Amino acid sequence: MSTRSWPHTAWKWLCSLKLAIVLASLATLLGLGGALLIPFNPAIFGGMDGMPLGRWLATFGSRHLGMTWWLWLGGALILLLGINTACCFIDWLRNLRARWRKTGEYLIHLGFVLLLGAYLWGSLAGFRSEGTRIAVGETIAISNMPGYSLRLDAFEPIMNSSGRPVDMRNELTLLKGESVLVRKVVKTNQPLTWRGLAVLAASFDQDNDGFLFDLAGQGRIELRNGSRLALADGGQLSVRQYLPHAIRLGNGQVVAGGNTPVDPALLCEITRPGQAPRQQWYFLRGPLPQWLTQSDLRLIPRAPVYSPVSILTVNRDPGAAMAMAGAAAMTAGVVLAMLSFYYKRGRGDRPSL
Amino acid sequence: MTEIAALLLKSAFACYLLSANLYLLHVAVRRPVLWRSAFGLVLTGFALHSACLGLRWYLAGYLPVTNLFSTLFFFSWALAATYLYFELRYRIHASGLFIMLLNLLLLGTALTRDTALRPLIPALDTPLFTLHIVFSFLGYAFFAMAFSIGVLYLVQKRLASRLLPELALLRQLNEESVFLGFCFFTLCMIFGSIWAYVAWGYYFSWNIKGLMSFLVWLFYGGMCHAKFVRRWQGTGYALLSIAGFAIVLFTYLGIGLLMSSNHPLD
Ligand code: HEM
Repeated sequence: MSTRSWPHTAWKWLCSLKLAIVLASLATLLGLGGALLIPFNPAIFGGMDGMPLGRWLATFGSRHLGMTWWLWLGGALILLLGINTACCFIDWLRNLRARWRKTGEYLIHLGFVLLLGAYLWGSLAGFRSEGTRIAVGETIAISNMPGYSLRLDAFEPIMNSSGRPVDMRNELTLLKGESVLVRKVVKTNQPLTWRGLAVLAASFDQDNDGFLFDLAGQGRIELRNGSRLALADGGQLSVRQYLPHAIRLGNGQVVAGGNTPVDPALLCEITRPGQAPRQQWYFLRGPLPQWLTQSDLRLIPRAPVYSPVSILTVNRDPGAAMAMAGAAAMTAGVVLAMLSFYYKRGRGDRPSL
Repeated sequence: MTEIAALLLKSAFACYLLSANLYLLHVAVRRPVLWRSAFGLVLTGFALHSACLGLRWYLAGYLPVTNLFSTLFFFSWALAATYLYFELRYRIHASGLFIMLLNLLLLGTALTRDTALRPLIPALDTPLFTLHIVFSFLGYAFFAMAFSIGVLYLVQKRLASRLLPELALLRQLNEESVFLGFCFFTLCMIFGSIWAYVAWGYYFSWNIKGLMSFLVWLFYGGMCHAKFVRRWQGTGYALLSIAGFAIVLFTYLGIGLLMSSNHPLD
């Protein structure tokens, strides 16, 4: 074989239709066997949608090779099929003048190559996270995307006629530093998307984030993190923290023990003109501390108060736009191929093998 | 209104049933009047079936394909549409009988089921869902047609009967069914993936139904090429069509009925 001919032979091989059939058949057979393993081994395969494929392969996929080898091999076959399809498409482009009538078919091929490339990109460079809790007014940083954050401006559960929650309405803002990138009402099937980032409304819950009190002479008030009360002597009480379940350690330090209101406590700061601020814990189950009665604040704890928290899914797939382009190419290709099918049928076209 | 829908459904079933019998009779006694009447009945049945579908769509406010009854009902409608397509284009008469029998089987099973229309949950309240379902059943219907033509091809190859269409026509019908089925199924996968992306934040889910659907797509994609290879033409293609339909049945029924997945059937 001459040195000039081997690249040619390799190219012909990569463009070969028979190779495509062999690869597609092998991948199908392998996949049929492998797919049956998925429902019976949830410990291995159950978490596959929770992370990009690349990360899954690097963790579960390589830890359980006995169960996952077919995925590695199948992936390699599909990758080779992708290269095969790309070569086939390039070969068509090079002969476009004679073969433009096959535009529909080759748009399908281009679509497949784009989709495969996009999936590979997303699998290697994307991330997924479920169960991100965010309360109204809160701004949280997006892990894996330094500098970017999400703010929940408003939240409202949507109930059906029998009072069961069926959807939720999140007013979300995506920020980079201080500047607003996107604002969107996020509901079921309506995510916030921005350059491969997708923020979805997954569920909601409620958090005990404060307490309702009777205040002698002033009626009912809710105190939560950030609440302020003016004192009769010109000073001010600010709530610095609310813990539904506060635990005082041996060294006097107070730590959070959980989210249910078992032993609620408020960290209060009293400021008076001309005096240094003083912070102290008020355990609501105990008697009203002296430093509060001294300030003439007669608080009577009544009930925990709850605020809704939205539970979001935050995923990033840098290949999403490319995948969409692939889907568009494939859709256009299918429509064109169907239109030209009847025409070609009449002429009895067959590609040369 | 729901009584009218039920009446339409039963009348459609009766038309299809009568038509299938006439087609069978036509195989034995070749009389044009038989297939003409049979064809007229399929057309009437299909019109009633479509009216019933349209009425249920109107009553529900969405294309009702969310439970076992409505998927059986819709699949049978897609099968009837596929049959009509081939009958109008190629006058296949009794050669499409398998499809009509499958249609009767599905519709007959559907008749005994709960037909109630329930409010749509927000997750399914998107045109992507409707497109995904419509194209999936159109795809499945053409794959079923490819299967039945494949079986006929093998039978005809053995019997060389004058009652059945010629091998060349059967081969052409088989290839056409696979190609059209593949096209519809591709659209089904595309709309399903976009829907998955807006609903879950990723466009391919690694569960048995998702993977099997991809394999069905890959298999029929491969078949779209196999017809260009001489060795796979004719008999090979018929065998592949039969094997492909087995995978389709497993993907639609096997997983839906036997295993839990994110595509429950009921
Ligand atoms: C998963 C990947 C692929 C898909 C989904 C796909 C899909 C299709 C479809 C739907 C057709 C139209 C068939 C028809 O006209 O009835 C087609 C035709 C064709 N494909 Fe592919 N294909 C793929 C990969 C490949 C590869 C790797 C090659 C490389 C050799 C290839 C070569 C061809 C050729 C030569 C035709 C015939 C076009 C013509 O009618 O002249 N395909 N393909």
